[in-house]
Amino acid sequence: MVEAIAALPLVLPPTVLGFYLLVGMGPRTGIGRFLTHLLGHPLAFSFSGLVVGSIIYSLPFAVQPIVAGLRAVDPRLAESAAVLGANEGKIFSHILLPLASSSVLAAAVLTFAHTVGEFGVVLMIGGNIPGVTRTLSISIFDQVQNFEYAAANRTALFLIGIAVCALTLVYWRRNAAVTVG
Amino acid sequence: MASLSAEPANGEWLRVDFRERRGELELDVSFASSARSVVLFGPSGAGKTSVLRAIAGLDIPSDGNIFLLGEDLARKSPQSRRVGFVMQQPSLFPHMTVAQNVAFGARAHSQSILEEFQINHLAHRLPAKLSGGERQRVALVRALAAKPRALLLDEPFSAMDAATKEQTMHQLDAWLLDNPTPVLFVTHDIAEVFSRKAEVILLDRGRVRGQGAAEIVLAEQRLTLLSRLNSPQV
Repeated sequence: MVEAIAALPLVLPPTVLGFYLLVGMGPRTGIGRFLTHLLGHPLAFSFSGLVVGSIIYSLPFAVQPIVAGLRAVDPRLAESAAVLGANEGKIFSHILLPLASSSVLAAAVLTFAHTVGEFGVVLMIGGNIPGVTRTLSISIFDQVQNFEYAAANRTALFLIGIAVCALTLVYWRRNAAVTVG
Repeated sequence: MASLSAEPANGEWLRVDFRERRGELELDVSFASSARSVVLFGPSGAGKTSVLRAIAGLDIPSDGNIFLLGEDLARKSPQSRRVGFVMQQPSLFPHMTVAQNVAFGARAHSQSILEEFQINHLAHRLPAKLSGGERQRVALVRALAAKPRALLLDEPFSAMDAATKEQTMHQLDAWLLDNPTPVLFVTHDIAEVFSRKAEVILLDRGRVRGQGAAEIVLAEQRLTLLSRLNSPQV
C-alpha cells in the first residue's frame, strides 16, 4: 500500500501533481497555513517549497530501487543476525542497509539526476523566479523562448554531463558490489 | 510416540511438542531430552531443519510448545532465546570479514576463539574468499562466540573434508568441555550418528520414530530407514 502510494507520482502528470502541491502549500489549506506559520513564509514560490515538491515527485525513483535492493538480500542473513541477538535496528543498519548499499546509491543518484532535470512540478510550485526557483530545465526553456540556442545547448550539455556521471557512478558501484558479493 | 506432559521434568534441557504444516510435510514432533548431546537423525525431508528453526524461533509452530532449559519459548523472540544456530548453508555476512562475522553478537573474546579453532589466519578474509568447509567452521565459531545457552547444529560439517571434519569435531568437543552447553545436532549421515556418541532421536516423515542409544534406535528402524535414506526429498 505504502509502495503504491509512493509510486503515484510516476503515473500522475507533473503539472497535476504540481498544481495540487501548489494548492496544498497555499493559505487555503490547513497544512499550508501550518507550514507558513512554522517557516514564517509560504512554501509556494520559494526554494524550500521547490525542494519539498521535488522530494514528493521523485519519491518513487528512490523507493522502488531501495525496496528491490532490500528484498534481494538473502533472508537467512537477517535470521542469522536475529539468532545472534541483533535487534531489528541492528539488522537493518548492519546487515540489510550495507548489503543494499548499491541500490541506495543508485536511488540517490537517479533521484538527484531526475530532480535536476524536472520541469513541470518545479515550474508550478516555484514559478520560475530568477535566482530563487529557476532550475536548469526551466533555463533551457527560457533560453529557447529567447532564441538563445547556444546558451540552451550549453545548459543541455551540462545536464547530459550530470546524467552520464550519475549512470557511471551507479554502474561502477553495482559492479563493485557484484565483485564483493 | 506417546504425547508429552505439558511441563518439563527435572534435568530436561529440551522439550519439543508441536504440530505444523510445511508444504507437503505434516510435522507432529514430540520429544524431550536430558542428554547433553542429542542427535536428530533422519532422511532428507524428514523435518529435522524445521525442528531446529522452531527451537531457534525462526518459525512459529501453529500448535504446541517448546521448552528450553525449563523456559517456555512461546513468546520469546529469536534474539532473546540465546541459542546458537549453525545453518546447513552457512549464512555468513558477505560484506564482513571473518573476524567481523565472529565479533557480531559475540559475548566472548572473538580473537581467542578464532585461535582456539585455528582459523585466525582467515580473520581478514571475506566469506567469498573461503571454501565451503572454511565457511562452515567460521559459522560454527561465530555461533560459539555468542556464548549460547544451547547449540543447534544443522549438518555443520557437511562441506568439510574428512580430516578437517575430525579436527573441527575434536575442537568442538574441547570447547564444550570448557563451556558446558547442550547440543542438538542434525545429520542424515549414519557415521556421524555413531561418532557423536549422543542420544539419538529418529525423525521420519515429520514424526519421531524412536529415541535412545544409537545402536538400539537404529537397529529397530534399520530396514525401513535404509530404504528411505537416499530417496528424494518429501
